[in-house]
Amino acid sequence: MLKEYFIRRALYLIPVLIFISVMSFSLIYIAPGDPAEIMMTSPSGGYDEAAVEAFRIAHGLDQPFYIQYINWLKNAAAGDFGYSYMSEQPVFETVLSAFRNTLTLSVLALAIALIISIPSGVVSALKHNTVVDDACRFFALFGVSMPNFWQAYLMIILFSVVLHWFPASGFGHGTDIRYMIMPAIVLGTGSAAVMMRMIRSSMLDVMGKEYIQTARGKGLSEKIVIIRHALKNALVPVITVAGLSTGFLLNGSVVVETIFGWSGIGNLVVNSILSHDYMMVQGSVLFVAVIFLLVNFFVDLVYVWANPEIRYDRTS
Amino acid sequence: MTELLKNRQITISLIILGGLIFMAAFAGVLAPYDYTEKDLQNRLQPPSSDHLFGTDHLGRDILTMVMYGSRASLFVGFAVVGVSLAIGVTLGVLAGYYGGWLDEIIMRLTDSFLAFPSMFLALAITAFLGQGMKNMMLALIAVEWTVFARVARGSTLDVRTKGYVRASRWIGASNCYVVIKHVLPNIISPVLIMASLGIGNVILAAAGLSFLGLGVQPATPEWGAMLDAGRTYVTTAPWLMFFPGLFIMITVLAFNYFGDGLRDALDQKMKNIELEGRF
Repeated sequence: MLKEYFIRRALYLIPVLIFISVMSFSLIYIAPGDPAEIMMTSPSGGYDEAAVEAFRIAHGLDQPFYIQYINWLKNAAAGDFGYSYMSEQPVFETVLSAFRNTLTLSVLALAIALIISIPSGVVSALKHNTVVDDACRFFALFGVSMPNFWQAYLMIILFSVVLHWFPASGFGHGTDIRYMIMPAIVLGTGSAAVMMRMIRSSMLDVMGKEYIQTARGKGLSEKIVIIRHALKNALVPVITVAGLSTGFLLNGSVVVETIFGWSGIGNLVVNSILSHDYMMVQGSVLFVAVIFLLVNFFVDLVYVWANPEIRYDRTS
Repeated sequence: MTELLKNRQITISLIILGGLIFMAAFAGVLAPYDYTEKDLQNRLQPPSSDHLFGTDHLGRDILTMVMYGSRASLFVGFAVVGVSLAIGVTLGVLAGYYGGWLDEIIMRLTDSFLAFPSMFLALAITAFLGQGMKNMMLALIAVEWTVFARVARGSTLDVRTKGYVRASRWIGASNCYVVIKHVLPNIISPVLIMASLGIGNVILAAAGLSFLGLGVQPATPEWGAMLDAGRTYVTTAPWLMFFPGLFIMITVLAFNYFGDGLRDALDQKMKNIELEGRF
């Protein structure tokens, strides 16, 4: 039964992967004008007729749409996303190295998010409907509503300009933690807000269950009941947070990396857009979508495996 | 309705939202200055009694800009969510009601849009369509409709199997009648909750895109674009960024707080729908 579900779920990936590849490929066609002209237009706006024609033939743009798509897909599947128009570097390698940097930052952000959200979520649930709970819930709402670009600049003003604790922006070869702290906090606090709310509601559900009463009845201390019995079970639905957080961290990376000058995937996409490097935009977007899709797929599998009675037939 | 107003959370958020809408509608009367009025003698002035929020790099009054800016943000929020809701609910009801291959196609399409992290999809679409408010709104609709499609489909599936719906089809009610009479009333609450949370999300995303220089262009007063313009002066004149950011947060917070309160008040089943904080 479980195996069948996994297979069915994996088969769903096929049409979705086809759709997202078509969408990524079509991006270039929704732009006003001819792709060759767009590709060959310099950031200053001019293009050379002969160069456009040569580009069109060299890239097979004179062929019908579906043939172009199949050729593009064949290359993309082999990890060839074309070359950057700006740097002439292979798109795939650039995207991969930028993604690695985003991953470094995300791991730190996720750690910050967990450190904030688990204790506050648990406390909020245990002190259900008290002032403490209200305050935690309000701060979570606050965290979700705060624009990350605004929070980033407030932190820069406080920690770089006033206190001189951290550099305002920079990459520091990707290993210097001083450059990571502020962007990771901005990304982490936003995720923490979402996670805290999930942990709270999941904890509330579990605390009402019979086995908690049984554990208490056995005379176990409240601390053991909460940590060993309640929290352990409450964290199962929170697995879905892993998927949600991936989306949150990826989305946040766009603005946060741009502000802090971190050489990750978000920064790469924004810079590529501003410099009209369309191959790079297309490659990055497809790459991120595939990663995000696979993360969500695995999260689903783990979730269903952990709660065999749940099948998302309704909301697949 | 009176039941809802007894809920403190809903009342507070409605008062704040009412205030913001009032400010947007009457910006022309309420604003102390003209937003196009440049006064280069008084550039980058800190907040004072003449200029409560200070002045920007062109000597424009920031309070005035913030007031006019609320128009763009609220308009984008309501318009994007309105269109997304119409598209999403239509597709979701069709998928849930008819099921079968139609459901498969619509749901796989929804999954495909959801496969992209929303900010990347919005960025890619604006990048290729070209910068500007209209294209930004199209990009945000492409992101937002999926939420409504999923919620509408789920609720439709719920009602479809109910005895009274089966009975009414059995006595010969048309599909159209069943949808209007039974399906739509059942999906109103979840859709309203998602719409309120969605407006907050969209306003945040729109400000983010404008901040990156891809949405509303700096000539129009808009909060995200104001923040973008203030970046250069972040160390010397932080009020350029502080006030527009504060208003984005208040607005988004009010919509989220409202949606959250609505969920608690309207529907116990909905407690599992979480704020997604997608942007």
